[in-house]
Amino acid sequence: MSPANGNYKAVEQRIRELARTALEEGRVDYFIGWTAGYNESEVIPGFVRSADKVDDLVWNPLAAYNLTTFLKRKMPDPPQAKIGLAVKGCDSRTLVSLLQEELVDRERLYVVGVPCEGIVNRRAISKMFANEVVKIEVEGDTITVTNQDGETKQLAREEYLLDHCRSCKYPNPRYFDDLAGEAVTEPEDQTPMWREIEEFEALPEKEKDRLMAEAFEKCIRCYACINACPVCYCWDNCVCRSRQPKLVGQKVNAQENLMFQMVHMFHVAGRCPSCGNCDRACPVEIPLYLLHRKMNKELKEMLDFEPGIDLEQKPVFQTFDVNDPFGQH
Amino acid sequence: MKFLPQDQLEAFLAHLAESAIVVAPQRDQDGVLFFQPWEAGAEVEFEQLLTRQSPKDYVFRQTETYLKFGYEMKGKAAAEEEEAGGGKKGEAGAAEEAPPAEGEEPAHEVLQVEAVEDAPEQVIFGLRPCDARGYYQMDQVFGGYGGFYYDPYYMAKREATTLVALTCAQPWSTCFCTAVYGSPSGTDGVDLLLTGIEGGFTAETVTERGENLLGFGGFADVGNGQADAAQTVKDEAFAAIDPPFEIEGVPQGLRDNFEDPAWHDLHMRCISCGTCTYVCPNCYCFNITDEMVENSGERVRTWDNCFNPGYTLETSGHNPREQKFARFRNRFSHKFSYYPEKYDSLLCSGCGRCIRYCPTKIDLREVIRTLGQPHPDQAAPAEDGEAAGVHAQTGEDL
Amino acid sequence: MAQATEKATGTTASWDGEGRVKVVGILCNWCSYAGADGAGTARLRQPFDFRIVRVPCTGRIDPLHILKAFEKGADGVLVSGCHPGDCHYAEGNYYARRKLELLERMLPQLGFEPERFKYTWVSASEAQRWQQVVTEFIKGVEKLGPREGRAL
Repeated sequence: MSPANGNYKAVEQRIRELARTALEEGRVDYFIGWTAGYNESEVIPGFVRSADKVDDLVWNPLAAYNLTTFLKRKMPDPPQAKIGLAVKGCDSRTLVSLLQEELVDRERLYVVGVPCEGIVNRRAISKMFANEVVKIEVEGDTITVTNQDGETKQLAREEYLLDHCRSCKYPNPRYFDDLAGEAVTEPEDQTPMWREIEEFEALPEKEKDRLMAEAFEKCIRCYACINACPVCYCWDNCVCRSRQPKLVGQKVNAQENLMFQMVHMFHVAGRCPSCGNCDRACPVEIPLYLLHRKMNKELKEMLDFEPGIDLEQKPVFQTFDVNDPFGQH
Repeated sequence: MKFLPQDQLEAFLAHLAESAIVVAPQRDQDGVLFFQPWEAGAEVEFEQLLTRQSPKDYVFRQTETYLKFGYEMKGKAAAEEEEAGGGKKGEAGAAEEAPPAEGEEPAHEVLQVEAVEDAPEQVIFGLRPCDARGYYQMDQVFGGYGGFYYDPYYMAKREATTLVALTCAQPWSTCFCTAVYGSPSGTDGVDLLLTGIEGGFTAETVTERGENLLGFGGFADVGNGQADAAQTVKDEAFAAIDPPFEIEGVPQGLRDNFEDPAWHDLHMRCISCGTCTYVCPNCYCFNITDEMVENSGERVRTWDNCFNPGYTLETSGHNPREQKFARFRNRFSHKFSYYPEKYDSLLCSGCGRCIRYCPTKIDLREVIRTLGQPHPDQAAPAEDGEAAGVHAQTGEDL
Repeated sequence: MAQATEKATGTTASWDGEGRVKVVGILCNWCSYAGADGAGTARLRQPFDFRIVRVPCTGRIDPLHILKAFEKGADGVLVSGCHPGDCHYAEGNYYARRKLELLERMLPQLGFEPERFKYTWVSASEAQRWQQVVTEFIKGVEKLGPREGRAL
């Protein structure tokens, strides 16, 4: 299926225009978008403080990073800055979660919504060659990967979409001030993103335990996952850093690591839309989606709730319904 | 110099494994390359340039219990308690407590401490010169350089470790060892250096430990042109790296640019995690914690990282590096300015892992380029600490 | 990867080590704790392997507490509070119900058998029901035996 907005350049231009105007008019102190990384295969968050630098901003299917992370407390510099940012559909859901809890002041934000037709899986693509991938280009349906020897491979964009992009139900931002492109239609495949979860659920208990232990044995407690998470905002007051009481120990082993990650998952439950920032941030490639997608699957079954869809909704664990259809013991 | 044929590699590893734990690059369940203990039949991989994490953990452990301790009752009361079968003391109407007889100790609490010694003989096989250089740099901190500090726990493990390094054939775009006094065939910290050529590896000894490894029967004498082939690999790799900055003057430059407003731009996408620190071959900050349950426990050393918001949090509640940009500035300043003041090296070996695995790809080279040299329009460093361009930020910004 | 990690040694606390299962109960002070107390006063026989943690209200419970109990060696955890609608603090157990339901659904993902965790509502006057709930739950855990998980 060819992306309707396959002309990424047009959307890119529009993002630049909107950012430029916002900066020139002084509506924002800086604008957060995506920009090129250390080579042509990486796209990273970009911060533009002056209108003449907006041409650094890009838009293409490598723009995975959820930029709402930079709205968390202690992130803005200067602290009271007015901030403009670009959000895809999934990103806007974390923004809505932050706004629902009044953790960010709406008045200081200028939000450019970017309708998105899928981000490609850079990790999978970088495994195409034994040596370094130095360039990834996406045009229409084709990804062209180039390695450091100049060799190229062509891949079908459809096959290399991120898992949750395949079944994305909200490709158009749920909250925005201006849109940078035409609204896109949702993919025909409306199966929820927890297909892989069902496979995992079917495994015997001992096997699940073994896989989880194996996954979390790798964890180096760098906290990239929780820091990259837009709705995980306690920082230095986090329970995982507390010595008194000591809930998560200082030792780094599978038990403590999983304890820490489960605490994080439960504390973001109801606000995490499975945007995947944590999965991509993890330097040792732990399959964190096994936890957060499972969590969202259960939430949907329990309460027919999807985080971050509607600003008027209340976060699901900060409220209750007397008639909740479970817990009849 | 000797030559190790390709088909002797497995045998060499097996030979080493007879008297040491051998650690070599292998893929894990998700296909990620890490240094892991080697067993016969394991699939080792030397093609990929770098493992995800440096092998620092094998000598400077991420979690290291180095003391076990417990409180015990000794003396008269303890003896009585044992007689009574561990029953409760101080029951109502208890028997008279006679004072301790001569020579008998009164009841008192004693702290039993037991050091944990764990320094197995090990060989780290297939690490790159930048990884080995990381040990060389940490050795200075923990090895008593300049009379500063000697860490027996690190040094015991270090002295039991042999490093067999592998010359890099094709550096990545993020490599910059040549810009920090290193090289793809560098020998700082290395015991034996292997260079891959057609049919196998040349092997050059650097230290006595490396010399001892050549006792393995599978080594052959270096043949015609093999030494030259090895040199070509080294030269080509060296030339393939384009130094991204001029290192001369950087330690001073970073000090000069302490108040530069560019710090406030460069730190923006940093999420203040610890990835760069933990994948780095030579970052060495640590925490010490007593993990206790009731009356006994362990004293544990764990890795710490300077991006941790509580890294400089003091008991008073004051935190000199409350703000992210200050912690960001500190990391680069430590590695390129403060550490070289004390020790005989930079605290960076140019492996580039911090760039590749940072969640937002913060580029150390960009930081050093921008702030490592005095700016042409740099205002003179202020004397009272209040410099132009520094945003006034105070404590909580909720 | 923490390549040379020390394996978790677990707790050094003084469990009885007799090979029976260790079950932890987290009970709200007003209904369930009183109910359990009532069962004791009425001399209703119950399994002994049950260690109770008293909280003011199930609403105070964070799923982290249950996970911590499992991490430290519990083979089963039973949470009990006032019936929905009868919370001593009016709403605490409504919040708890949502959190605990999610926890119950997430635990299998870590390899926990469903019989190892249960949340229920027992009022202060339901001493006999308490006896039944505890006995059934512990029997269920005993059938599975001590937990041998590596993950948590």
